[in-house]
Amino acid sequence: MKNVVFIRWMRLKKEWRSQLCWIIIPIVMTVLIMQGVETWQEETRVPIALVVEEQTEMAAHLVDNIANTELLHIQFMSLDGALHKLEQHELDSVFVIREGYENNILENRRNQLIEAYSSNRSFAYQSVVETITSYAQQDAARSKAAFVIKQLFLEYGMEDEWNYEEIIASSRERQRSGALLQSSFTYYEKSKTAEEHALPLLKAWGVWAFFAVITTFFLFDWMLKENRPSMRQRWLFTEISFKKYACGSLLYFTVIIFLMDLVTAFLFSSLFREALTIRVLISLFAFRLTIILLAFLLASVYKQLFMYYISGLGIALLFIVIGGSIIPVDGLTGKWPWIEELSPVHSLLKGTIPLIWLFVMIVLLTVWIHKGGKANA
Amino acid sequence: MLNVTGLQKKYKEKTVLENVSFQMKPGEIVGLVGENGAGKSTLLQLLATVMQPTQGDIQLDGLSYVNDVKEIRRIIGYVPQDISIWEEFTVEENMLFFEQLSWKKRTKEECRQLCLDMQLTHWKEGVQSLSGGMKRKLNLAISLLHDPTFLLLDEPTVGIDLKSKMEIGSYLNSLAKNEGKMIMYTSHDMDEITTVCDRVYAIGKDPFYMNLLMENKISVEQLK
Repeated sequence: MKNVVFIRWMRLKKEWRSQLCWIIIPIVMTVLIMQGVETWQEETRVPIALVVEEQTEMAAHLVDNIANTELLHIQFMSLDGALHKLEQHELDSVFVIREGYENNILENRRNQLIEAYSSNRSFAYQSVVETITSYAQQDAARSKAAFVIKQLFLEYGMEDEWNYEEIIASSRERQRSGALLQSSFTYYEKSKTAEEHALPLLKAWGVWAFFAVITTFFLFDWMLKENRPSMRQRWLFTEISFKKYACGSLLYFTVIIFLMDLVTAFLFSSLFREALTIRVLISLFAFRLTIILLAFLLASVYKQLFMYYISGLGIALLFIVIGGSIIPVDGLTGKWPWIEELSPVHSLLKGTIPLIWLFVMIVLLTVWIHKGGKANA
Repeated sequence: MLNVTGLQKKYKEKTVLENVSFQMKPGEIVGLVGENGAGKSTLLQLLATVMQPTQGDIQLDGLSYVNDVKEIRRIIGYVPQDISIWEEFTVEENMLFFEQLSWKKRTKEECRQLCLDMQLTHWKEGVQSLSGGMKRKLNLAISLLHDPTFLLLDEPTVGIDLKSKMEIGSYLNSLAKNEGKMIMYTSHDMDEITTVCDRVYAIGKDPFYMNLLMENKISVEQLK
């Protein structure tokens, strides 16, 4: 192994640029694509301004609700500034939470809770008004319910166990934890399928997996380059056979790639708030090991570099599509759910280990190592 | 000592070598001549364990080519016709690369000395900028790293200048005479063959080489 590390170090001194490139490309591309998508999503949101004149808990709750609405891009500013931007058509509409909002709700005054401004180019105004009004109405309805409960306590002479804030808090908690709106689909004469968690349209690990598969194939092209026909005869007259050298190099590359994957996991955790748990790391290493062994074993059977690269690209696309990493293929996987299991990318996204793939790869590697071959070339 | 008896090689239906038998002793340089396609490279590859004979027996220093292939490869130095070196490396890096893989461990200085012995002086130079002659010398030097006793060279001087040819010839001569190595050598250059080799085997049906060598009073034997 010492000899192999020495040789790999010699090669690294010559090839560090390309190897570094293949190692960091998945990270760089994922960051670029995810940031690009984020910017695009930002630009497709409706820009509105929120003028908050009241500093009460109820007003703050309403602001949180509006700010968490996915399709709205909220800017907090003064009324004058907001109206100026609205005149310049830089905003779709402006909403003002006037002082007295909480009082109005508590006193069950449900009209004119929020002030709204729009221009002749406020194309999304009606939809945004509906959304924000619904949040205000939620607060109003909750307040009304609390008021009625309190009245009932008084009417029936029951001990006043809950105060007004507790009833409101309990109502919010129930809304948050319980799925108030739930829909499920069943096909004619088909049993109801278990609830499934849909994968998001674009996931950082999904994008990363695509580039990781391709670049792993590029990283392992040494299997073909260093055993090309003109060099093959040299390996017959060396103490360390090409097979031993290849196995040592496989270990060397696996360690380097695993270290880089560890860095990637930390980076994604801070950049994209991806979970960083032992389970995620084990799943990541299992996925990477599967891809490494696949690239290594395919490189051992290919004769032409070009065909090997094309195969890498094809396999990456196949894994991504059937694994539902970038574009979820619900139609296909709904009909044949086992298709997703064919892709190790799906296991990575689910945080599991691609056991079948890993088992097959390890068996094939063992066969490759132990197969006798001819004594002569 | 090399003993070859009744060697035959067939590629599907085509017989390339038929009933080839000969012997070689330590310290001998034997030339192999013949027209293209006569089977010179095939014979060298059979002797180098790169391919297996269809029939016949080969023994090297009492070792069988059937049962002791690994041991035989330790004492064989094979210089293929194609230059088999890393173009992206320097001479030094090429030597150290193969030294790491070799049975015999050598110091960097010993590797360098091996190159200097055959007038390969461009130790730190990249292979890409070396002349054809220098590349051939490096190709030979790498094959000698594990100190083989039987050297097989397939047209080692093809396409190189006269000076380099003479330097390689002189080095091979010193290996055979001073270190007792057996060397088998193929070439189309009759001057080189007659200068370097002790004996010559002609291979193939065309009597051209046979007649040419006999006219020059060179000891030559027909192999098939």
